[in-house]
Amino acid sequence: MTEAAIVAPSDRPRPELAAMRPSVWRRHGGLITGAGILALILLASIFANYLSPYDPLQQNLRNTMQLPGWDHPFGTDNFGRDIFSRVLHAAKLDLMIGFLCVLFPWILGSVLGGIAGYFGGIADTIIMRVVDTFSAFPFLVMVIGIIAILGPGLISMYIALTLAGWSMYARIVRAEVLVVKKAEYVLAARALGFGHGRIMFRHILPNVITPTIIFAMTDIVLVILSTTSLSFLGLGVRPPTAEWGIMISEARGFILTAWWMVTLPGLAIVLVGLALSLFGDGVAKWLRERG
Amino acid sequence: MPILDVQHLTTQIPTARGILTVVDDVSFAVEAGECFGLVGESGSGKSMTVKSILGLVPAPGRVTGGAVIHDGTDLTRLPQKAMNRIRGSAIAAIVQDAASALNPVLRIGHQVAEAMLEHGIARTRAEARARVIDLMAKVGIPAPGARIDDYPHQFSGGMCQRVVIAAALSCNPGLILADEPTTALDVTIQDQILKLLVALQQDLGLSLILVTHDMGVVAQTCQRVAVMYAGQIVEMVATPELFRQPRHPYTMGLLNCVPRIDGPETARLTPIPGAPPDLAHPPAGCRFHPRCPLATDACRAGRPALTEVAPGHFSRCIRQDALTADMWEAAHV
Amino acid sequence: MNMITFLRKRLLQMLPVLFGIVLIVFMVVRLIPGDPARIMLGIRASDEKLAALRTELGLDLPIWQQFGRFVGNILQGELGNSIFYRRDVTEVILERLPVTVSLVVFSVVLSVLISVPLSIAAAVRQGSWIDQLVRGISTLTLSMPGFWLGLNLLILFAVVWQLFPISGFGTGFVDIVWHLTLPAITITLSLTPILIRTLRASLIEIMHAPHVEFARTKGLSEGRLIRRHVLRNGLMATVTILGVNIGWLMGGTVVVEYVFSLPGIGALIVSSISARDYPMIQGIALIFGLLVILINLLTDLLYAALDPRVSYD
Repeated sequence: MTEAAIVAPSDRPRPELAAMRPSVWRRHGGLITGAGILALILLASIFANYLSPYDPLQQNLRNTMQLPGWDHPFGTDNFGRDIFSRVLHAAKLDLMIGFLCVLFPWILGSVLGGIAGYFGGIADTIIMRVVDTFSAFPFLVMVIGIIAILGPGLISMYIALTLAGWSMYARIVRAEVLVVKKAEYVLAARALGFGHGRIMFRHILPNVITPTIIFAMTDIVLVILSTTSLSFLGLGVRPPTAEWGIMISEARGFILTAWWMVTLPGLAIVLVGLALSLFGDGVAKWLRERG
Repeated sequence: MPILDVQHLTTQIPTARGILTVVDDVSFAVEAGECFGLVGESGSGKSMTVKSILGLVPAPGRVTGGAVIHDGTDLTRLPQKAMNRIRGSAIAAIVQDAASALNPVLRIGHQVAEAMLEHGIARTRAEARARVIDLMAKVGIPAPGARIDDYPHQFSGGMCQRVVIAAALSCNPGLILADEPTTALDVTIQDQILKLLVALQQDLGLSLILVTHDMGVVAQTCQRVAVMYAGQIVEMVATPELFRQPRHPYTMGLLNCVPRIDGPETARLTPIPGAPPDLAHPPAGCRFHPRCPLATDACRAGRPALTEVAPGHFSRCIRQDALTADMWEAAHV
Repeated sequence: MNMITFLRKRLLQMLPVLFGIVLIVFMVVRLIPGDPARIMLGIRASDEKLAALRTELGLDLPIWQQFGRFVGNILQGELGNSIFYRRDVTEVILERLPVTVSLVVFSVVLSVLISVPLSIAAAVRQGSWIDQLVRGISTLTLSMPGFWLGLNLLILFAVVWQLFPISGFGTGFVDIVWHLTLPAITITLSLTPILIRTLRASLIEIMHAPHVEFARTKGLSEGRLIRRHVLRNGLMATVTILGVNIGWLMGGTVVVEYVFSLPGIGALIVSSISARDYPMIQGIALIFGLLVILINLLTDLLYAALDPRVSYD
């Protein structure tokens, strides 16, 4: 009978264990930065009315095309309107449009995709054919087409962006539902006799939502870009409303004399896009890590 | 002089949950021409051990301690370029899912020949082609001359595994690491492949490290075997002795899980209660104690080392002399 | 699977989508709130003109007959008459189509030339500074609206530095390329981040695939590993990704043609909306839809050609 040697917790030198774990900043730096900038922008836009030194629609023809300075942090445009105030108010408008025009397609697409995936059969075939058809048109072309029917304007833009944007969500949700449908817990629920609605809402939905949120994060940037593009082309929001796309469009003629009229609203768009992208990628990464 | 001497190998992976020690102080030696088995459940660290030997631990994991001595050099200290010269030529690998291991867009012939061309064993395409046909015949692929230009999707699972074996043999390695080579195959094919491996090993005088969770495979092919649990080797001995007199509760538990054709008809299979530990926060003391019917306070403190409890027979259990044939069944009553 | 069978299957799958496109385009005019004829001709149009237009468009026929007429016309290449140009829609579109197609081709070539090497560099050295830089610049350019980017490029390179023309299409191959450079760069800068993002992810996935793991055990050099086991498989992914995003690219031509005053169908659709030229809008929408389907078919064929699992019996 031999005595096994019992060795105390090892005193062999181990490598820096702490050094092997990436810091929180490395793992979630993008998310934090994006969230920070986004929070600032959101606050600025919500309180646009209080933060704007001037009324965004107020013209002052004796003060046109001023360089950015103390009085007017972003300068004035060809009508003497304060650009900073307009940019702030435009932030409110564009962010709201961006959010809603992702929310509506998300709801519409998820419901239709869920129905298609869950019930299969005829519903699936019909819905997916519709999705395929809608996907066949370039996004912007479809939006423009719908606006052509309804006439340019803010409401038309909402409708157009929603109708053009839902199909991707439907695809994602349908694909996820098809996978989850076969999962054990769903089969168990069916065996227990739970109704379709209950199964869909309480069992399938939570598992299917994550990829749609990840997609929505990219989508919102695209939607804001589309909104500004449409307004730039004269097909969306109408002047004199303060909207980034319109501001740049109106500034086209003055580009050599008053560059800030084009550059600054553009930079605002880029900043918002960046913040949303960083935040979105960060959220996606976080969701994926949670498994 | 063993062909591979693994000394106190430790591999760790940092994760969000903590640092996983997937290979913990693993030591064993493989002699030339020997077939050595590494057996354990999923998550026991056997695959990671193989990856650590090959220097292919997936990032962010790393080998953090110990040495792997091969032909006088410590493989764990070699830079990737030097390691590349050894991989595929002196030490080759066979993987679990052969069908996925083959690139679907490349022809079989190319995939078997790659290593030869990379390591200079074959200088020209023609030379490589001839050798490939030879190898394919050796592993039992019918009509190799015709099938050499086929794509992987045209082969069955068993045939794919033969192709993988052919690729592994291409540079005449001294050591082959086989990670569950038969797990993904049908039972009848499993048997064929195993027999092929044993025959090749004996014909060519190779050493083979065979990783598996199947005790039956071990019994059929390996001269010596090490049982792994939670990243550690808990028992190591010549195969017949392992089955005749296991000296670790875990090994006994594993053996009890296998149905016996010579046992009474109504004998029950007794599973090991509980689940393998979280490698980020393993239990203090002996890793197996939470599930062990023989656990005492001494088992819960300190770190039992692998000691030679009988000639050539190593165990990590300090209570191995209290092991009895029916202790697992008794524990369940 | 046989290539012929594959082709037949894909064509059959396309039919319902084609039908859907035609249906939607057909509905463009019929869904206009109010009287389409009056909207198109303006308030001051005379009653005779209105009646004539209605007959021409078949608006007084039952809806089934209208659709039948519509489909019949399309099959003959008849897309109606442009209100604004007073010419055959098909004619006008065919005149301007080459401009848009050249722009698209040029942009695709540039995008692939830029995004493929960058994606490879980023994927192979995942986490390194190259990867961070590529992803950082991608995120930045992704947030830049095409029209703003185009305007800035226009000012800098065409007006201030006068390296490129301000507008127009040009004649002769070299001249056309010169004219299309800035517009193509604009589209490329918007498309590349999307391509890089997806391609990089695909390549990383491939690099962790079992066949790459096995190839590593053979001791292949990193270069050979990438070339033989990652790139070839990545090529197929590139084709698919490009096909998926081609719609986005074509949407981009609308804005870019507008900013750079290129006589293509993108700019045409914008001007047609202000002019309420519905036959033209219809025609262009149809062409865009058909183009996308065609390009999807081509990418599918290309993918099948690259995939050994599809054979050529």
